[in-house]
Amino acid sequence: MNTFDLNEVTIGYEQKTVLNRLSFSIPHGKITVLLGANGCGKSTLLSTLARQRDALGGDIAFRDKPLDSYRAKEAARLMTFMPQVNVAPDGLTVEQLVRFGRYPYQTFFKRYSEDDERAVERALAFTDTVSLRDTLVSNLSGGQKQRVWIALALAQESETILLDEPTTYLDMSHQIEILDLMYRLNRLEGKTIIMVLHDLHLACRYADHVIALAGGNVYREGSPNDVVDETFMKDVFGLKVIVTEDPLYGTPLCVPYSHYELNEKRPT
Amino acid sequence: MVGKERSEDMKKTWIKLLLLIICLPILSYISLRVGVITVSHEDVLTFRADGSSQAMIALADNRIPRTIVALLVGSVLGLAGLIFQLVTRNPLASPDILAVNAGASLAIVLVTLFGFSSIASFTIASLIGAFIAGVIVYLLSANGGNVMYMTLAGASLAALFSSFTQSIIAYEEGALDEVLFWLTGSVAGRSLTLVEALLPWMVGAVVLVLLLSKELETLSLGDQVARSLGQNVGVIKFVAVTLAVVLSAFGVALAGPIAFAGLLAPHLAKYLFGTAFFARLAGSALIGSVLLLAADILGRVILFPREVTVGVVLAVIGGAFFIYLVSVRQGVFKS
Amino acid sequence: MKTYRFRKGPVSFTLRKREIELALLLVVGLLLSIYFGLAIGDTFLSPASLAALFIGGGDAFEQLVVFEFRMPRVLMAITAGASLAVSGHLLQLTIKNELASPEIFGIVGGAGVATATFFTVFTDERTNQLSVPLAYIPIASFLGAIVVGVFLFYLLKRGVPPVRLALVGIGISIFSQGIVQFMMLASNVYRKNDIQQWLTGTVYAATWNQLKIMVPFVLLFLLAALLIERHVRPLHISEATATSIGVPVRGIQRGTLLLSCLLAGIGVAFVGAIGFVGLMAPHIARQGLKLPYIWATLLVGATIVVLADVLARTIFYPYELRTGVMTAVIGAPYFFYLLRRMMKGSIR
Repeated sequence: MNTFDLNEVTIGYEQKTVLNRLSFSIPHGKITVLLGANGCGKSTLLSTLARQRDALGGDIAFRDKPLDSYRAKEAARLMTFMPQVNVAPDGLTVEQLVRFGRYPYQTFFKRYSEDDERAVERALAFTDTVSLRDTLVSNLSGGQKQRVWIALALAQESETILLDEPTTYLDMSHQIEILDLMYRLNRLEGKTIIMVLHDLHLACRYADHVIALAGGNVYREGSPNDVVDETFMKDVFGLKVIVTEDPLYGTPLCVPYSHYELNEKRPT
Repeated sequence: MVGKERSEDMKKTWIKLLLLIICLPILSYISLRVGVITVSHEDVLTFRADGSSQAMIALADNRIPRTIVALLVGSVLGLAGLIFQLVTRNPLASPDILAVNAGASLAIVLVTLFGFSSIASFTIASLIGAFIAGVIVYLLSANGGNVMYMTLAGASLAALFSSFTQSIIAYEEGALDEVLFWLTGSVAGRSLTLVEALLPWMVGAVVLVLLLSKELETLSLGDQVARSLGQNVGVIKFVAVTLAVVLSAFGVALAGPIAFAGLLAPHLAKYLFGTAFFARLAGSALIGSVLLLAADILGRVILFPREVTVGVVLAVIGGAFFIYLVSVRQGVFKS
Repeated sequence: MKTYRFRKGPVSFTLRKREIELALLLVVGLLLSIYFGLAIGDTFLSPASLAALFIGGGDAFEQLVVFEFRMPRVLMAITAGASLAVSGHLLQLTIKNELASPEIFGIVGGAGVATATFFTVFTDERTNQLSVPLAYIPIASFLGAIVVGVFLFYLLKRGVPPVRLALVGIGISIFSQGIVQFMMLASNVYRKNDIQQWLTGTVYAATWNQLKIMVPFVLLFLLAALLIERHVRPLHISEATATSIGVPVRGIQRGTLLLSCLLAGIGVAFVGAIGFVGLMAPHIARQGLKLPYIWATLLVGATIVVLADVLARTIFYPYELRTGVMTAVIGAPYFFYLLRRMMKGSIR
């Protein structure tokens, strides 16, 4: 079973098509990263998969059923989405925020059950935010905030997690921290992780599967080793690079030339 | 090539400005003739202040003053609106939405309550009221305030002021009619003495704004950029807001609170002139005048022989246009 | 934070000690203001004599004053206050902005236009009397509010984001102000006063008959608000997060908008445009008492209007101010508070 199967899917805005007739699948239980240059539509694609917007055409299947056949809560028990920019309203504590993740399991009579409590505790523990539970979200540092929003997603206890650039604005140590968290979620809890990442190096290191978008369609997909090479970088990012091996993990590592080098006009 | 395009652009800008300027005498002429009392073409040409015919009296007592007031108030509001929008970096800022008009109105109604009714007291009250509201607006924008919050806070404050105004009127039933008429915003029934008293100040303020054009343009790039270009942002902002407040206060003292002219004129100017800043500035003033004159004329014919005040006309037409802009043409007011 | 958990079969919920205490405090506050509302006036009643009235004691005059004049008035203040406050609460959640209110959204403006039109159209030119019963005015006001509501709803459905609806509302307010002023200028002095009175708003003339019509609707709408609350609160975080956790965002937005218009419409229908309750009450509950819940807003709103009415009756005794004047007076310091918060940058 695949988590997502897209067939001839067109994505975009009313006046402008961003991605045209896409067909690909996102494997179950893997870490999949969407790659592409700025404005190639990867975030738009991700938010379409996350039910944030409707596709303009084509069929999207989620766990072998049409995505739009899921009721809102039903889908939310199966997938969660973390937007790129998250701002909590004033006066909300970490625990209060994370509890919102239990919404899809609650009814008018069943407000906050033992299951809910357990899930929230687990989410806080997994993201190492237990000690922050009574802190106001607005008072947290960037890295802490990001972990709290991930905790909200985890409290949802959904199998699939979609994240839009979860490492933006973070320094390198916090970037690694967040991605390690995703890795643990995938390997220990068997979650399917789908994310958009900017940092190609880290994307290659953590992804099992990458899907590269360029020119309004899928340029190439597969394991990072199969996808990322010199031609790929030239076509997708317009950048001349040398692809070498990550000395630690053996994943592709791109060392870019300066643009001057490319035009042989580099000042001496 | 670039130079040629630039001079083409300049030429177009000048032509547009010229067209706007030409609009003024045409509209003024129409404004002199249209109304309950018929004024013929000859009457306009042979006008003498001491004339005794009905047409002459209508011209002297009504048409000429209201035309002048409309011209003045329009340009003053247009400029004030542009300055507010620049300083607050809020495309929805204007004397009406940011409560400056409402503040001036409340102050005027208050002094009427205490029995003052001279021109001077009206003007001073209007200045004080506008100034208080202006200070609040300035404070709201000083901290790089969010555009949406600033707008909603301004609108709520305006609602607060006007609910006080309404309360006072409700208890002063005797004064109701006169004040109410003034509150709807009208250019009619203003004597030329009032205009004469305020004219030098208004012209002075307008000239000052035009002289500050370069500084305002720099300010429009944002505080940080302006500062790095060597501008004393604090001083310029203060001067600009003070000028805008003074301009709107004069406008309110003369014609009452008039909605939307101050909001729409700068936007139309931007639409017409794009980035040519001085043209935008001058254009805002001209468009403001055109809007007020046209609305006043329209108010005289739309329910003939009954007159609808210019404030009502602008509130209704401007309101509809505003709703269209913020809901359908969403790009116009990106926040 | 001390919490009590309650579980029985499929029913489970959590109560926090602090919230229970505050709830009790709010209820006591409301009861106290109700007492003032019933006891203060030309004849002052001690708690004992008021209690005596309720068990059938007291003289006939006191009975009349309390049960026919003061009681409907207090109840009207409660119903109007609660519905306006909850309307504001819902609007603030939907557009994620604590400055939203029925006034800002133009709902009150629409009601005002309808009322002014009613007075203008149904006035007999010769006798200066209304040609239809005065009792129809609430219908006109309510319809006016609903027309604006339907318009906003239509825009929302066409994809205009909720935040923009607030701007549209500002436009509608100014638009309606223009029309109302024109109608006031065009109508005779009596009608002018009538319209003016509506624009300030008062619970002065409340009757049992009005309450009989109003209360069932208000209860129904408030119940709906309490039911929808759970689904609206996630919207306060962001639309994206709300969607992610499974809130049917569009449906909830539409439902909330409709409900707030209904509440605001019925809130102003009988008493006129009593202002700032919809703006202040949710804010006092959320920021002041740290109770971001509809029940808290409801209690605060009701208390504000009852107290405003008591103050309006007593400050310039024997003259009565209008309730709307008092709520505006209470609203003024609120603005300074708001201003301070905005300057400190705690409102983004």
